Amino acid sequence: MLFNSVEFLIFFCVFFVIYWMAHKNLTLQNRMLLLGGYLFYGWWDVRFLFLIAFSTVLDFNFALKIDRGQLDKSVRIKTLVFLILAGIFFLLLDFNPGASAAGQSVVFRPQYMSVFLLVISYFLVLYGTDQASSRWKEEQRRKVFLIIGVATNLLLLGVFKYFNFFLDSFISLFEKMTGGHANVPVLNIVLPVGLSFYTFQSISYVVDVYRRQTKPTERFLDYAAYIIFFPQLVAGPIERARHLLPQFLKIRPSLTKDDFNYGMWLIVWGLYKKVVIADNLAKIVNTTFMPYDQGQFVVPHDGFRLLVAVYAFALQIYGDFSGYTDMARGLAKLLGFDIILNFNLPYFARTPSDFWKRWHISLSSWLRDYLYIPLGGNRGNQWFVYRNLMLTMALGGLWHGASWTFLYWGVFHGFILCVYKFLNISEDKKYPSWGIPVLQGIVMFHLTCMGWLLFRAKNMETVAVFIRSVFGHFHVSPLAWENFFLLFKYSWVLIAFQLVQFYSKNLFPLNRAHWFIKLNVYLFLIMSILCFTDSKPQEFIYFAF
Amino acid sequence: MKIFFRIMWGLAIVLYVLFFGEVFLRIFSPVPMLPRYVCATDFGIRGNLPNASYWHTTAEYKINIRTNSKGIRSDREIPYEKPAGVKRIVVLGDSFGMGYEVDLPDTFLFHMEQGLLHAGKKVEVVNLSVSGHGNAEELIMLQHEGIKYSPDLILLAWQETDLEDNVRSDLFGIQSGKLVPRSKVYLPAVEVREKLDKYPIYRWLESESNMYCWIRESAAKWTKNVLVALKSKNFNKKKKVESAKTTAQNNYVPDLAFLLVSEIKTESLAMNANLLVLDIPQSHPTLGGISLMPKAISDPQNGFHVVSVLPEFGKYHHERLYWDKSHWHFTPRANGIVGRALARYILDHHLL
Repeated sequence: MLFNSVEFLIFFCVFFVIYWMAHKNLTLQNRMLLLGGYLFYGWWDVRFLFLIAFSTVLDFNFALKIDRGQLDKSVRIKTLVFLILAGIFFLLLDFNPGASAAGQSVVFRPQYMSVFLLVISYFLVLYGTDQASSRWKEEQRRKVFLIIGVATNLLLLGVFKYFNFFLDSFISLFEKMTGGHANVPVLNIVLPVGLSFYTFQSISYVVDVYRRQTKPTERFLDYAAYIIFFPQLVAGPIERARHLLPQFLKIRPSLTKDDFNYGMWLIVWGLYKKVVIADNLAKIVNTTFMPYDQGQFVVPHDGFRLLVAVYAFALQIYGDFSGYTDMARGLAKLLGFDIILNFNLPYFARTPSDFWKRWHISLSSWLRDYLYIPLGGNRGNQWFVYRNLMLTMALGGLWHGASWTFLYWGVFHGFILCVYKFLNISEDKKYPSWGIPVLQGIVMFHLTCMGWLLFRAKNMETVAVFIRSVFGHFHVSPLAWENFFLLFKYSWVLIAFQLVQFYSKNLFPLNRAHWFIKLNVYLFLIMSILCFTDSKPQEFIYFAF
Repeated sequence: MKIFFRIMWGLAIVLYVLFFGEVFLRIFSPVPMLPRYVCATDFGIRGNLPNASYWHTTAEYKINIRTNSKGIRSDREIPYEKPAGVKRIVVLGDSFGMGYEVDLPDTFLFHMEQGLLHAGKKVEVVNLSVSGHGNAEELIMLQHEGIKYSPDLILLAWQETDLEDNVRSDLFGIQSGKLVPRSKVYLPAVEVREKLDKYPIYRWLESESNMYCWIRESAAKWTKNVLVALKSKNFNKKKKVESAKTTAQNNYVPDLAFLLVSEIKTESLAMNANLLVLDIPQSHPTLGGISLMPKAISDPQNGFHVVSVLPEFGKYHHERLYWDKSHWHFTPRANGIVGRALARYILDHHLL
């Protein structure tokens, strides 16, 4: 179910009303969030629900094992029953009416039986180690369960996201080295929507419990509702348990007028960024990249058109992802939750480190806390710091998808972080005039665009064509002007609004505005959404990650 | 008193919202204003409003549409009795056939008539096209009105929206592979429209207000989708008409179109008239146009005279053949190409 679809609008309106009718009844509200989340996520593919149920049970158990060494009998029973039911209803049985040739409404899917049994066995073995692990030293036990928990999460990610990529790369390398042909069957694995997001969120919970930064919860169903919390489930922000989980465990205050207004603003503004800016700019981007995506690498003579496409992609991906995040935060606000900020005017960044403090903040802070700092962070000599930066960013790039261009994108960002660090250029440095900071901002924006070219391109040949065309054939064709006009048409509101946000140092400047100005802004956004939206809702780019 | 002020305040806000919408649309997204003046005929389908004169306005053109006392888009009266020595071509079609978005002398029918006159044929075109018609309504129009003109040739302007229109109207269906009548009447929103059209303010809104046209278009799009979805359930619960028209050719929707066109042919032959089908292409950026006509109709083995302008459209694809910023009807350039192609075909195949 996409946020920008009619189904979701109906779903959320109904859910919102029923949810607040159960106000003050925390258990009921949490159960509704759990059911709502499963309905929302299962809309894509019911089978994905078993995976998320597995992930939920896994991390809930490991957090408790790390903290206490042993699991209560009730916890074991509860989680096992939950998993078995999930396996039966989401994996083994297909409730699609007419799915079978015989027209049965329920069909048994035997092909998943082995997966189901494997998962159940995993937990039975885990529960079986309770006696043995209770005899281990505490720190040793904590470390062992941390490693097994994180490794299992990474294994899930590896199988569903990276298996075919690494297999393909290995085959390709093997063929190049031997000159032969490897006939290895490739598994047809579907990438579950938002897998990387909820896996990273789960890993952070287990690690935080290990670090004693978070106390594990014993309320399994509340924890399950936290993991499947639908506003931020499929594309983040990647929440930390210490911030979001406590909000599931205490009665939520009534929805205030200010919260409602802010939530509505985030939803409308996020939807505008997605359907008006991102989806319309996608047309420019896709038509320009299409020949290169299809392997036709002719260098065009109108380099300006390609440059416009890169600018358009910079705004498309920002509109798409930050639009989703705004909607997620707005929806959560309407349900009484506070979700962390994920974007803070990233294209106003002056340095790479400034950019990563503003772009996908939840991921960059995750990488900092769970990768960069454990690798050594800023400690040690300069070369170690550079190594840590490069490694962190390369893995961060790979997090986005199983493709070499994502890896290059990460390496590119790691590289520019190192260069800026080497040159000691910092965003904190004050200058007497505005000229240098503006120049720094322009340079950083173009470096970011260079990164986006690597990110969007399907191969390095495309990158080479773009660079050669922009720097060697900078001709301005009528089509380039047309695209430039469209780019301006769909992005001027965003640019103008962000300038207001930047100079007023307020991400919600509208809250201080007169009601008549608010009315006009809302009317403008709603009319734009209604007039410039495609009839078919487009998926969010980050759903694929 | 308090309630009165609240109501007035609410009303003022609603009016302001409408005003804002009008200004927004005029600046950022002008809506093509193509009002459709139709009325109920005695035989249960829509016909053009007789003796009407109205404007079609977009950001690019403003054209006048005039109908005679029989609702035909023409500047003269056409009696039912055929003048001696004159060959008559009765045209069945929708907005394409009616010549939407171009002036009368720019329509393909005008070009076709001129081409035939220049070739020495004494012809008269009777255009019974009505915007929104599908093949089902065209068949009924031929049976009740076309026959009165004693046609020598029936020209059916076939367009891909006919596929959906045939289903939506529900006038005919298929039973055991044969065409069967279902409903006797299909007059969507005609009664309401007829009432509203009596008010000058409504007519003004239809031809001048972007906001009104935008609301109407959006509502019509929704209603059409809902109607198609509901009526397609009658024959196929799972497949949508949308996919049916573009992919699977051997299913209900194209079959219904084929049977309706075959029935039009049977009726034509009963009137001693030939049937000529014009395949109106769908716009395509590099090919100029593509055909979405069911293969059963376009297949020469099935004996239909089908005029395809795809080669010509391919040749001129770099020119503007469709009004891409409004309702994707033919531009004067495309009308010229189509009109000449029709005249050539009629002459080459001695259809008159």
